[in-house]
Amino acid sequence: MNVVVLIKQVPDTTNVRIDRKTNNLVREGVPSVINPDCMHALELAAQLKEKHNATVYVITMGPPQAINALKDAISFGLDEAVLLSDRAFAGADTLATTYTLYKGIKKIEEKIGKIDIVLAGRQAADGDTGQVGPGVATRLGYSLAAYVTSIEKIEKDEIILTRRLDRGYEKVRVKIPCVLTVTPELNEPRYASLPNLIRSLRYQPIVWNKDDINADPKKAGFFGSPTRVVNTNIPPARKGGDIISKNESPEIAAQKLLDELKKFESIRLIEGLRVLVGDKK
Amino acid sequence: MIKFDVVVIGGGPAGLSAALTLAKSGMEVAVVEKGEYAGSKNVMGGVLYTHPLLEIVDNAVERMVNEKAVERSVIEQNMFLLGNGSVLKVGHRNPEWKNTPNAFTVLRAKFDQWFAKIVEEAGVLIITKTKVEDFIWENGKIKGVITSRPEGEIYCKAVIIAEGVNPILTMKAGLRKEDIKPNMAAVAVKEVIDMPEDIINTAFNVDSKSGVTYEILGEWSEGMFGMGFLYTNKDSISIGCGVLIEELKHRNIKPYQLLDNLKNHPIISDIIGEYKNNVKEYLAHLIPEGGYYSIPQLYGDNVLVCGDAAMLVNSIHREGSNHAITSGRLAAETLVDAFNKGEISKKTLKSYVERLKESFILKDLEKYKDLMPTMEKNQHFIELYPSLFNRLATRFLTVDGTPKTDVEWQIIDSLRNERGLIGLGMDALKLWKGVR
Repeated sequence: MNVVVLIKQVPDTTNVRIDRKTNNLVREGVPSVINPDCMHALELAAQLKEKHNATVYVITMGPPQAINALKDAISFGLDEAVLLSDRAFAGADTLATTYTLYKGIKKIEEKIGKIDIVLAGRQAADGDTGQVGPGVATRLGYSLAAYVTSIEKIEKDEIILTRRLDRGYEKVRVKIPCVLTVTPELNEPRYASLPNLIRSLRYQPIVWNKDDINADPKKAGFFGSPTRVVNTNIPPARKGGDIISKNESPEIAAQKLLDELKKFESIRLIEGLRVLVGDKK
Repeated sequence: MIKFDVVVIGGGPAGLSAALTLAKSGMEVAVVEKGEYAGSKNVMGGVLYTHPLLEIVDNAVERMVNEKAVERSVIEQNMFLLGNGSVLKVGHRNPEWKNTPNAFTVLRAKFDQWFAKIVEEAGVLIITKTKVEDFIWENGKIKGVITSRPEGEIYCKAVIIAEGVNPILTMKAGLRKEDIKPNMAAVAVKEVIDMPEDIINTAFNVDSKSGVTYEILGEWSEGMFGMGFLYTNKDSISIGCGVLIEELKHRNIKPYQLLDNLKNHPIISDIIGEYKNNVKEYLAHLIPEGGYYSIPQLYGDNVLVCGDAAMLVNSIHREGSNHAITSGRLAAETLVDAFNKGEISKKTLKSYVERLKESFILKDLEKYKDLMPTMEKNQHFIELYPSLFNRLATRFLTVDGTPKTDVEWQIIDSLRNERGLIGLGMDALKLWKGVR
């Protein structure tokens, strides 16, 4: 079984601030980390390696600094990591990104044979589109399961899994080869073992440029991106809630809360319906 | 099985300096650091002396400046005695320090990462996000460390403990019987306040490469013995203070209240002005201030202690990181000698203490060994003198038609009334004994 994990390096969101004047993220001095959702894809890949003896490649597109994210990814005990880095890839939207990643995956295929499963995180903490995984599935012509929350069974040519929908969950059979994008519910990323960590610290990822993966510069990066960012906004700071009771006895506080709640139509409706269903005591 | 020649516990200045020295002698070294990166958990006021780095890093000063590891070269140092709304200052400025930097103001997260990069270039493996939890013992000797990671054992021939002020592993190694006590450590709190570079240059009368330090005694500390400080960084200032835990506990005062006192003192408030609320970072840490008497056993079979873990801090002179870097180097040099002799034991590692005694580290700590206890026992040093001296200065410098002879007698009278001439004499004697 051959597996490729797509990861992204993002600014550590716990440290990100927004410049209120320019509306841009203040990236200076903010450490980069593996996108949190991608951690769950890496964990799944590590499990596939352990249980199904999979060969796992990790791939990302980005500037040379993204090597750090790839080294971290190797600490999950995975086989190799590939950085797609070229000026021609810069300024990419999700369409161009999927093209470059697709070319990268094809190149990996030349080395290890047909890729059975491509894993990705649900979405990136900085862009939040959730489009790259599905886009790569389309380019590869693979079946797609997005928002995977649990995996029941992996068979020779299909996977039985559960994915999250807007309301509720859906259990599906997915034909291999496939692309899965995973949610944090799927698993708990491991705390790497010391031997794997040491290997990752010493590991040097493979770096490929546009010629290595035979990418068409017109389809990659800025020139391959129809998306233009015209404007960005920050939602206005949320106004704090009203305090309806302060330092009062629980009885009075509860009564005040009830009075407030009754101002909502939906609450009054339930109150009215109680006559129909009767009080459960 | 993972094997190294030496495992260094802790990626602060002491540990990094030890690791670098060992790696230069061709040893296989692993530094195990529990923080996310070297320096992520480290705090200090912010003055780093250059001399210990010159010993271990080639072109240390040029590299630090060019690679932006440091903020400003300190060309002016001041001591402030804060009175009630006033200040008595002593200071020294020497622009020659621009050419041969004596000290830099630093932000530790930046500096430590720079230092770690140099150490990695020398071939040291720095393992971060990993905690050493215990030692591997064989026949009563340390044979390695057990980390928090799965399959986390590392075997080695020797261990250098540079774990910092909390001596958890020093105790596990049997080199310290009891945990540090509240009178052996200060809590230091600090804010990094954003201030534009050109405003700092104007306010402190310096160019962009040069900086100023203030050490601040007096009013803010509510009579407790503690040191406040204000240092200029490139485009921010570090302001903070430290007081012994025991005193805070005894007086039931929170450290941030003292920092507020300091920031709100009219003199300090004037300096930082409208930037007072531009707090970018708030930091707090324990500083070992037990001095000479709190130093643990510094060596054992296959093990040495350095830096804060060895309590090697000269709190009177705000020196700690230079002790850390130097003690790390000396510990490493001791080990290298022991490796060359082919015997790593108490017998060969004992010379570490000799090396420390020959260096400024133990000489300085011994010199000041009784000063802290003297200060603690004599609260009036801090309660009385800063405000008294401020009042005397005001009296002396206020010209209101009083003849100078009368002014002198007024000053002598207030000294007599507030402390008594015998008391003054005794205090001078105590102080002299403390620093002799």
